[in-house]
Amino acid sequence: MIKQFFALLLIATAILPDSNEKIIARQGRVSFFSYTTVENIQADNNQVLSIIDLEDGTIAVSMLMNAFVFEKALMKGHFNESYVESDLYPKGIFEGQIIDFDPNQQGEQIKMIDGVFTMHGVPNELSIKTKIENNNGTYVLTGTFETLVEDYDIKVPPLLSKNISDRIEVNFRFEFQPYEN
Amino acid sequence: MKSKILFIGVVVFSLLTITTLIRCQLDPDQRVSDTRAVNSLLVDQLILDPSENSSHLIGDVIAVDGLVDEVNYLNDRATIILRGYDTEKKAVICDMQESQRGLMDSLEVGQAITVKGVLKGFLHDVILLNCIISNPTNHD
Repeated sequence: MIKQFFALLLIATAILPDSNEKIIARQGRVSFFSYTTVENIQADNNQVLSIIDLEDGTIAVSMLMNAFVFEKALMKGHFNESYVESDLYPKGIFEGQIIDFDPNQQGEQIKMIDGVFTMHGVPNELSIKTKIENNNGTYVLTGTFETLVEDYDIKVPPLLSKNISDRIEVNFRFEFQPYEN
Repeated sequence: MKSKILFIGVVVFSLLTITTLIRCQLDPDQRVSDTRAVNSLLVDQLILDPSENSSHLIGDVIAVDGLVDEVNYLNDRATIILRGYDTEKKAVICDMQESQRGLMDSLEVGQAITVKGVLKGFLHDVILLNCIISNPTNHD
């Protein structure tokens, strides 16, 4: 009986994450899409950083705005120089909390993340639905949400307003590993 | 005399405009391949004090010497993670050009290589895009 207890304890220790543990994604993907009748614009950033504290469910995301890859170089130029002004505001940062997150639950769970995304120097509150997949302590977060260009004080010149949607769709995917800081 | 100055002004303005347009349109992959004279740094130099040593290089093509820590194809991107000789917890994440996949398959963990790419900035790690595997160059 005692042997069985210790065997179970050993298995539980191996599978369940340490409550003080933080996990990190160094190559998260964030993509955004703008759909208009004139043109569709897509950009991908594959080096987005995210850290989750499993103890309290807090999450932080940081991305370099100049690391978004566009189909056309000219689009990238407009994005960095005219819209997000990445020289002045090089990072987009999200800080939030995964509501009712249970890091010990295996498989899929759908949760809401409430937090503030700061881009172009403008903070904006967001509530984002995410799917969390936990496979023996390896977590993958995915989701999609929409946000408005005007929420970040980004001014699109009237001449280009037909090319850029007011509403931007954002997709994300993060694969987390244990974080040893 | 005035018309001569005006003519030179127009020529200079046109050249500047054309150069700017070409620079805007230039494929970043091509830019990395074509740039010969680049600053060459060790991974440790980039990581240890980015604000002191290398923040002024953001947007430039640079060459980085380090050891292969990982080769992965996460999110359908070809990536080499380079670590330093002295530092272990931080690294340089190199997003590779598609043409480099063949070369990447033959890399081994711990192998010393030089990667050339556009320095984008610093998060937990250093981010380089449009990278190619390059021959070693002289260090600063």
